[in-house]
Amino acid sequence: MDDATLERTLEDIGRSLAYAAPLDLRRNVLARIAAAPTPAPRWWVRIASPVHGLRPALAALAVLLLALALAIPAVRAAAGEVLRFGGIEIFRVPATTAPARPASPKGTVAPSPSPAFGTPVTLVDARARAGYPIAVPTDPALGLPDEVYVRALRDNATQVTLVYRQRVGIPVSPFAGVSAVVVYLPGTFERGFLGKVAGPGTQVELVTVNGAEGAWLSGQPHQLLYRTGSQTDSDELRLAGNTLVWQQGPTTVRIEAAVDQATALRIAGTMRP
Amino acid sequence: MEGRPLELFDESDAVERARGGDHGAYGELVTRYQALAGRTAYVITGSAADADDVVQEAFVKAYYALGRFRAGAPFRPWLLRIVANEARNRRVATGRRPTLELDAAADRASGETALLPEDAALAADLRRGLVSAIGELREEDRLVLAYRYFLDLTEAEMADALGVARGTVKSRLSRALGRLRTEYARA
Repeated sequence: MDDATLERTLEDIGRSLAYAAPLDLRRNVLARIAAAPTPAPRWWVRIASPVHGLRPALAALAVLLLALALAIPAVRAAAGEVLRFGGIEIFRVPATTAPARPASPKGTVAPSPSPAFGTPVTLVDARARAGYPIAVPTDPALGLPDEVYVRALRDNATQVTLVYRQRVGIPVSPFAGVSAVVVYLPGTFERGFLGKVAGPGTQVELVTVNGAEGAWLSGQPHQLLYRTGSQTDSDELRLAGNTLVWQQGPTTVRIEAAVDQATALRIAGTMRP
Repeated sequence: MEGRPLELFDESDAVERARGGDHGAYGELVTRYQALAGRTAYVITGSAADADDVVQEAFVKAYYALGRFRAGAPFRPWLLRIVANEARNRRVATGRRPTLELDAAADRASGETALLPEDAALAADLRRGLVSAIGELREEDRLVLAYRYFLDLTEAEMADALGVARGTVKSRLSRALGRLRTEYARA
């Protein structure tokens, strides 16, 4: 078969694919966005309003409480399901998630990683600042990280983020603006926790990672939030793609990337301490 | 010829109005790009039912993400990235292997009416063989082929939608065509 025949046939196939978008798509989409007067609201408005039907300001307050004070029993009760292991708690909430604040001011070509990652440093500096072991993945799918960021948390704790901007075979997330991130959080503080607010479209599966407990979150993007120390202080919140999270020694480690579970586990396997 | 005014669709104007909360303007964008978005979702999920859900979800998400859409940037590739991401998550979540199908009524080559019946049958066999070969390809290959041949994106749009440099698009496409030929020959 010559090139011209192949290309023409592919175009013919494109014209006869057995798929047509549903007729009521426009109506359904408009019905779902009807509740919001303007796009790109802050995430808590979206996550709260369908649940509680409150006015946006009140709804915002309600979910801020969720973000800042997950320890409050009433808020815990509102979460349909809670999974706990190590220092990690995952809350399933009866709400649809929506994209969070911009990961970058640009949003199309080669977006910059979120400024929320912290300050760019060398890996050597990151290791010195962190004070805990940082195992960099050696999986060829990722190669070496493009950037390393540190971020000071409360109680002199440091978060370290390895950023992989664009990797072949791992689509760049339109939300985070990069192909993959690997994040280390020190699990040393007693009351620190990491919470995931998982909507109905997110699958949560408990997995074993390098012999330790972990979780695999996939499906719809989910918001990630965590608190450190005893302060009611939400550090960061952004959209995650598929996420593998586990306890590794004194740290909580997570890999976020649009890869399947097997790939994430394989990458994690190269980070065995 | 009678001077009928050209039907102009000002995409960036529609996007700007939608960003300002004009649902009608967003509705226009949905109508205009639903086929493009739907087919992208279908190529990735390989299931019409999943594609229906994905495309609705993606348009809702894209609306809420409009705040970080860079004004003046092309909307189609930006939308397709959201669609592809949503579709990919759906496929991973369901764990189903995608199978594409051709619409029997529409399954006809361009200018096929001029073909002899046996040539038309050969062309139909070729289409079916290629469709099943596409189903065997990795998603990355399926997507690059779909963007080029099913959705007719420009090279710049493909680069943007795939999140790769423009120079990468050509080599990806030619590798995907190569692997398609291999799969087709194997069957």
